[in-house]
Amino acid sequence: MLFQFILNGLTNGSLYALMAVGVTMVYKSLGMLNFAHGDIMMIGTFIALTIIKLKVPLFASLIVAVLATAIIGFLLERLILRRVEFSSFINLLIATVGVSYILRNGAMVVFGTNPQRFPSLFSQFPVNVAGFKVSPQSIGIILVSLTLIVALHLFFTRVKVGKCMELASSDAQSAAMMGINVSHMRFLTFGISAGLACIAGALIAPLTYARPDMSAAIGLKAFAAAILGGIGNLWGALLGGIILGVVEALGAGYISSAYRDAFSFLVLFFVLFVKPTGLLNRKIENKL
Amino acid sequence: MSKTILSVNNLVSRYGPITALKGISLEVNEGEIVSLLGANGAGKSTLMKSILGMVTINSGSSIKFDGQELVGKKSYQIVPLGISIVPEGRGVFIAKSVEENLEVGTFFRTRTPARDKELLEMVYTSFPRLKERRRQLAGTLSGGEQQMLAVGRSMMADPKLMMLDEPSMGLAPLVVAEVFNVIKTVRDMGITILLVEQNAKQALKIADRGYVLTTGEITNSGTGAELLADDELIAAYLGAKK
Repeated sequence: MLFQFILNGLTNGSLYALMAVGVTMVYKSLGMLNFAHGDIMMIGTFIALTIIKLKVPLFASLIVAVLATAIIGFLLERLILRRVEFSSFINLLIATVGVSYILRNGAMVVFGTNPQRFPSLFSQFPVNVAGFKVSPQSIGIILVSLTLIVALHLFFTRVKVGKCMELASSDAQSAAMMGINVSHMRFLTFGISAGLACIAGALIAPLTYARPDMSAAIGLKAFAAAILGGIGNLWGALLGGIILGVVEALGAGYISSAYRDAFSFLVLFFVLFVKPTGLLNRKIENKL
Repeated sequence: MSKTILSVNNLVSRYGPITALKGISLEVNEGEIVSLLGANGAGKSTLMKSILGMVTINSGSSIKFDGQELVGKKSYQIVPLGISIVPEGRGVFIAKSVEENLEVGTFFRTRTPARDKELLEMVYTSFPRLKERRRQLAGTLSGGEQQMLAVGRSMMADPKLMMLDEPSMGLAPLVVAEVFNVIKTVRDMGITILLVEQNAKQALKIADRGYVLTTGEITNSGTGAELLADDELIAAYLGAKK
């Protein structure tokens, strides 16, 4: 039983982590919480589903959908967020809430409110591994999420564009003086985060079906995971997601599944009480 | 006389409704150290930001660098032309290592990898301490070391013109002397220098020429020696003791 719970926890946790990464990168770079992140994920899922229904092979559909969602991300940044950016932090935040409602209700009109089946990249039938039942789907989700997060880390630390994005988000003024096109970097950040959300959606939808309101639960968890690990921190998002997933699974399994969400938020409150910056964030001191 | 590399003509710059520069003109010739002096709020930093395309500039202003008009260009278009800055307060990336900071300088100028190596060698020879600490985070360096890092990063861009914004700010007198020596070394490498300073005496000592900026206008100019000899000016505009 314990093994099952932990495997479930890791599966959900890595999905939370994948979503949290998108939230955290946008926070770091644009200085705002993107409340539309979950709904961008949902739109990505429906774009993928629409392409799949055109009898395009699953994998190809996903690639097209990820690109399309990234483009939607670019457009949102250019057409909406950039316009409010200079007024105030609160306006920016409310703008993302607005975007979230528009996307969700738009999706209800276009795709209907009924949950729709979404094909999985991985087999859902458990196989026996050394006496344990393991679902290839769970393993697939965990591996894809981890691979993406590691790839993202390499992108931010090894690739020139990634490094520039990282510098622009840590110190915009100095980055601009060094010749980095800061506004372009923000734009890219938002697009990449949207593309990641689409992948997360395609991994989640086979479990929960594609629904216009599918972001409700996971969107909130993504925030919780990002904050738990230390917002703005890539590894923090991963750690936060995994912790939430496992705590939830254990709590639901051994205590009561009715309090499933309560367990994750209890952990969040406790961590913030003890370490208000989140688990992995430390203040980097400038000696001066 | 050597050729003019930077010429600013009738520059009017604004921050929103506030006019920070009220039509200033100045020239920097190739190979010179030109010092720009003035009290806090005189518009020295605004001039640097104007050259880098980071503030609003009125039409009718002109900034020519190496034959190209800079007004209307953004910093990411201007830096690749060969202007690099050592920002006020150093602006090093504190969460990045010394090496990573230096690398940023190489991002936007095209040249051979061999030149990259040569420049890095040059920076490490000029600042041995940076080499010792190349894996350390920039935030853990002392103020003087951070200043060296900011200058090194700027050197890595292989600039034609290096602009330094108050490099002596907040440093101990001994370190200040070191910084000014570094500036001379950089000039000897053939890099033209525009130096903004409040530390007037030091800045004029190493300068070929100087300009005095008072509330957005140029009120005096001359060779370094001329300005230095003008006691009244030193006292009135620069606040330094005779």
